[in-house]
Amino acid sequence: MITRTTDPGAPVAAFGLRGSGLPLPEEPLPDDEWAALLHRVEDQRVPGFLIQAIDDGAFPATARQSSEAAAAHTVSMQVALLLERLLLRVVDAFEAGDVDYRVLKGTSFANLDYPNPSLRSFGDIDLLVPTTEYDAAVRAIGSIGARRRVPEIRRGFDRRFGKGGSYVMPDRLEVDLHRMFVPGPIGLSMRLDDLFATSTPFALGARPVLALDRELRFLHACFHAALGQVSPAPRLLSLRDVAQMLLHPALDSARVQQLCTDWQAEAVVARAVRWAWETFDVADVVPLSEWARGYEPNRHAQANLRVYGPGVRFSSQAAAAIPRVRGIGGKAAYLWALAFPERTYRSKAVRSIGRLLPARRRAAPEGRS
Amino acid sequence: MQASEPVNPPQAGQRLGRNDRVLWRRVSAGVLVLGPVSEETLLLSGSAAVVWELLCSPMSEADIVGFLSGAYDTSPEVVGPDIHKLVGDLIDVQVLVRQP
Repeated sequence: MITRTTDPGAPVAAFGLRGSGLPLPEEPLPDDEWAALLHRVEDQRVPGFLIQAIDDGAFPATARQSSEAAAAHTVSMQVALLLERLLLRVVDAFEAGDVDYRVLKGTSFANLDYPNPSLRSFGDIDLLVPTTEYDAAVRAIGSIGARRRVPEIRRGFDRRFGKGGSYVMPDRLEVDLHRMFVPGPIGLSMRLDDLFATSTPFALGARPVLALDRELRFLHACFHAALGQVSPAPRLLSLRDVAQMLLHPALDSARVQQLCTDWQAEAVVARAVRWAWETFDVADVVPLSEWARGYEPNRHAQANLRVYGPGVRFSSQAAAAIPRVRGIGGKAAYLWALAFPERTYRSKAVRSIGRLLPARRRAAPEGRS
Repeated sequence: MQASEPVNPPQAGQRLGRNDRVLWRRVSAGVLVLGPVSEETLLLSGSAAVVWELLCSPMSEADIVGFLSGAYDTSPEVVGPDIHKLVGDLIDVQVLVRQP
């Protein structure tokens, strides 16, 4: 359980959310509190809700504070537009290479799940591709200049066992290519074919692009909130996504629960919904929030959740996934890749660790190393 | 031709519209647009943002001038030259297009 009632960003992230009981300030904040709040809002990617609250008169602010909030929001929207143009280039490359895809998270949530896309910021683009077309997708984004951030553990690992890969464009914008929602045992329990059985189109400019359908978007929001960046706590924007989608009357709760069962993902969804409801102090009760409140994960589900917790090593998560890898040959290939990663992967990992060391040393107290 | 003048000024009576390849967002100060050939976003504020909102449906430059002169309680002769320049500039950067 998490409690965020003292998080000054939570009432901002909850602005406009039906049933949230978090109060906004009744008068402009003192300068130091405002500076801390603005930093928190930017870090949690919720400047759209702050400027909306100020513009609606719900969040009292001085002229300077309004101006700073507007500037933060404008910067986030500049990034969003540049990312959406990149997304169109990627989609063009996919279509030229006959690669199926679904747009995930950021821009699809902004355009489909919020009343105004200006509310929802994002920092990269995420695309899901079928496993059978993963290599073609990598070639397609390579053709427009994308390069992997970190080498693959072994050739073919991502396509066979991994969540996907992270790519960077020459202008430093990022593209995350996904094969499944999360790595590890919970990702490997997903039925990936379900993700491409349906789609929901939305338009960027006049160009239609494909996203997941409403229930699958909600599940992805839950996976991201519950298992993604959870240290020290899930990002407020991720929790807002969960609450935003769950409170939409068109969400089919029965279908969500069926997918949860099929994917053995009940514990993930229950955790995300509980965290969102607690963080935003949501009074409204919907069938899934009621179910999540009473859900108790069994030992197996608890063990799976633990490998996504803060401070858990990649090796622990990878080891927990072994039972989910299909076939003796598959398990052998998986273990071989983890035990003997390719030289390029090892050297990149070592360089990454090396860059961290000086900062850690500087942070250590006097007399300790 | 002076650099400040639009390269492709709109013709009288011709309908104008948004370029549907433009990506855009509303922000506090107006409308942020990213044209199909632009390297950077462009902030439309004040009357430029109003013109963008008006052109959710195509209309002629004369109609735009008529609306703005009414809204700002001023004569079309005062508003007209500024709008003509603005519309021409936005056509040059492919944010607006002439409708067929």
